[in-house]
Amino acid sequence: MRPTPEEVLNSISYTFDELIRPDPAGPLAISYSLTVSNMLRQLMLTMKHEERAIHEDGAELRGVLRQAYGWLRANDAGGEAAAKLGTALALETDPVTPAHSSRDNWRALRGALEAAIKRMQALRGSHGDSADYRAVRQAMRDYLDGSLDREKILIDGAFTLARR
Amino acid sequence: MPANLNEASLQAYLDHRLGANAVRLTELTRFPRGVSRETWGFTIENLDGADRPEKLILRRPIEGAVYIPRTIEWEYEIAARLAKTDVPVAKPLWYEDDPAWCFDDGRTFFIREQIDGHWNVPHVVDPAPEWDQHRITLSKEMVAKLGMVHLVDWKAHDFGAIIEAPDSLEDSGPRAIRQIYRELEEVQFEPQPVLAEVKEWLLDNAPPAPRLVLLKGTNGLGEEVFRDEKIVALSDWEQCSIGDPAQDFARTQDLLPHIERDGQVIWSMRHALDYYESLTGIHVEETTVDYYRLVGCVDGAVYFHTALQSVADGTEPNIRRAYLATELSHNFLRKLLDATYGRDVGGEAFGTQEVKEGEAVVATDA
Repeated sequence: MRPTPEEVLNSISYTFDELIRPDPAGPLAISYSLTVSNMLRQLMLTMKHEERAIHEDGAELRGVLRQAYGWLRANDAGGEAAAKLGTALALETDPVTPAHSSRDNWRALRGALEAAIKRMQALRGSHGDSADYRAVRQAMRDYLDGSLDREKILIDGAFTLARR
Repeated sequence: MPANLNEASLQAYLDHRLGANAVRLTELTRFPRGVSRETWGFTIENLDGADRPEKLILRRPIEGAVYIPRTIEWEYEIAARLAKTDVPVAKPLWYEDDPAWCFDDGRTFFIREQIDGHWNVPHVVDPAPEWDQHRITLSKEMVAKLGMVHLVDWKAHDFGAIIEAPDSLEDSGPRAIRQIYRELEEVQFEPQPVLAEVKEWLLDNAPPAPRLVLLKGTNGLGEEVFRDEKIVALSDWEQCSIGDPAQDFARTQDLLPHIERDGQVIWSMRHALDYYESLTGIHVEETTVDYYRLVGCVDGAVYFHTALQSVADGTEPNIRRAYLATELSHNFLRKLLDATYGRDVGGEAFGTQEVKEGEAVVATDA
């Protein structure tokens, strides 16, 4: 989930200082103000929903990755993707900074998913007919579908003005 | 230290390049449009009586521009080759890479002639029936000019020396996809599992090209120079490549309208493709255009990801770059997944227009 709230805030600060404040009544500043307004709403939605969205998404993702991990260990033992999955699945939330930690861990899980997708695509020639292989690939596709649906909660309702 | 680009420094450069007192600079203006390139128009008076064009363009990369894999020198080389064909283009005059004369932060540039005309055409997207014929005429004009580009003998004009051509008709789609994913690898800083997933489907479903042709890249409204209903120069060649002609139809902006009156479709993509075939003898399937719209979505998603880089590392956290990674990126990934999962994604209602909107949103000129 990028940009992060910190990145959006930094962008708003930069945009005000560099692009709006020098000529606040000019057409460029007015245009940027529209984008800032939309992104402030997006930021509020992110602050409201992100933690839960990452929790729910992460839970489904971990289930899919455990399935992929099992398949890769059985069929591609010693491969980099399996190792990356093992590392990502072992990550724990830091109790001192749980929000940041959850986001970082979720990103690591997504990176492991990408590695697993690429590796399983590469193994399609030798394993594509196997029911186990197809089940893992389908689980990955279902996750991606659901994940984009979950992301929609951070988009819907934010962009109510012209974008620029 | 090179000077900032202004009237005095450009006059000094022209004195150096063309000889003292050869020309007098009379006007210099930066054009407001552009995301990856800066375009400056200037006029000169030929004091030495030479037969030079008096309206010229200086073109260079924009400082801090979103990643564009092609250099300005490459773009100059493309223009130089095109100038030797029948394709209407502004004639390139010279490329400058002498560090002593590259302005500001040392960006190289090239000079070309300026063609009279405008990037916009009144009523080109006006849905009122009285503009139907006007819009069809403009659409045919765009199709005809694409046909001219596609009929260029790219081997004879040595485009193969600067553009990697597909190995075969079957390799056209896979080559385009591999190129985009190579660019992603160069810029990626965040996991992209959706793009990883759809790559396989795109490779599996790549249609063979009817012919390998020179492609313009993004084209249509905002990319060409119009005078009345004629295109007097095809401009913006930074995405020029060699491949399936359908790829250009997937990247045409606003000039392939779908017009329906009294239950009759009087102009559509199919009409445009039939007209194109009558001019070139090349048959292009509409489904292949749809396929390349999906390829365009991948291209757009990579572009948005690139735009986010300067937000993430704090080098230029422009809010518009952050915006691209939210709504537009989400929409593109959704369409890609829907298409690869066999769902209806709305045909011509997606693709190039949204990429263009993304580019416009991130442009500093608003």
